[in-house]
Amino acid sequence: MKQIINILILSLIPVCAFSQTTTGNDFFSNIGKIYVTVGVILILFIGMIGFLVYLERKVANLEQDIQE
Amino acid sequence: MKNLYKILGAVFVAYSLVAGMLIPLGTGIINVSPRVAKGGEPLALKIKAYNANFLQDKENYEARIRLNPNKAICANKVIVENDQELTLHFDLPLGKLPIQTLTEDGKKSSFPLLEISGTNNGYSSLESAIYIKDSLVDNENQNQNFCKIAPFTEVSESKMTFPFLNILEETIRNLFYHVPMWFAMMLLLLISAIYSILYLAIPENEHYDVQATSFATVGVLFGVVGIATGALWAKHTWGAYWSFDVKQNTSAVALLIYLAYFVLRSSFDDLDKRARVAAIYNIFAFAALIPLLYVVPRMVDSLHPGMGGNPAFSKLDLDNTMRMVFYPAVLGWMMLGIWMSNLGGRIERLMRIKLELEE
Repeated sequence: MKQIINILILSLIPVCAFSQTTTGNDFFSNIGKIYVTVGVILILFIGMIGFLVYLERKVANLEQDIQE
Repeated sequence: MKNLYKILGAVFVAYSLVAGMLIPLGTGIINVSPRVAKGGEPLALKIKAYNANFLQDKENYEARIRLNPNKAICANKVIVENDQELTLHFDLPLGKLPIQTLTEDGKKSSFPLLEISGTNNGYSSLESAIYIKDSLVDNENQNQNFCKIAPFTEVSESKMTFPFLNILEETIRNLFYHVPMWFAMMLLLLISAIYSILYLAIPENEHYDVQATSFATVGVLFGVVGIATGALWAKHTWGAYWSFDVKQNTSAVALLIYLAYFVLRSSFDDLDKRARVAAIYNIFAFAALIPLLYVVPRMVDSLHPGMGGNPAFSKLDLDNTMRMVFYPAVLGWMMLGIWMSNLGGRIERLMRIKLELEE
């Protein structure tokens, strides 16, 4: 299980084989702007978590009503 | 079998995340110096590359500056400084150089185009790489040391890479995360509109109303994620989160129309009336979505890749490596979106059943 989690985490880290060069000075323009893509994936993830929270609240309501 | 599309969706999205981030970019030219040169003089052009591996190509490197589709100045010496840097030596010809600055339809052309090619690194180019001042010499004295434009030597082994495009650079990978959002949103909202039509056509079927709302919810979620990811990307390529580009504006308007759909729903207490009015509104909202996302942006010039001569799909259309990740990503997000919508619909239906039981 731990190995699977490690593989999943590693798969999110960009592998830029020969990317010693930088094209900009700030964090996001670093390494060919790869962190912009990382940020995009993060936003995607936040969106999906947001949907989970929305479902969670609906189900919680339902559970509460059934208990009453 | 019923759950097959859920598994496929998860697998496709996981694949697009892994492959989309792991496959490296091809070699690209980031910078050249000097940017200005004078005709008739020798030129030592230093180039700085990205993701290059020049030391492996030490023996066999070709470089040229293309002035127009038929004429080029070839480098007579290529010196490999280190893995990311080359020095190209040119003898610039005297006289007026036939640089084609405009394309046939009056747009700025890519010339002078710097092209380099090595057996290991493959081909890379930089548009409008250098400004060459003409030397004022009689045309008769002009020494025409142009070289023939022959195809570069073939790349020995074909490596899996995504194309390097200036400005886009690594963010070319956003094609697998930002663009599928819009494709999936379009499908989910289409399904929502179909459910609305079904609700109006088939009487006494609350199920269709529930499904229409649920699909619209997830569709709008995908749209919001699409706008947010687009804004983050725009900040680092266009310079601002929101630059009032047609694509940004029309997609924001389309999402606002759908937000009004939810406001409309929540403003009715009577379930039956609410479902009917919302269904009619939903059909009109979808009808407005198509021109907003697919017609208006095509009629005006936009900064968005693939439009107004901006690099993206014209080049990517040919790139098979990107397609291999892009299509599964689109399909995967579509299937995940349908799954998410169905989940929301099922919970909503349970709530309706609970309401009926109470009565």
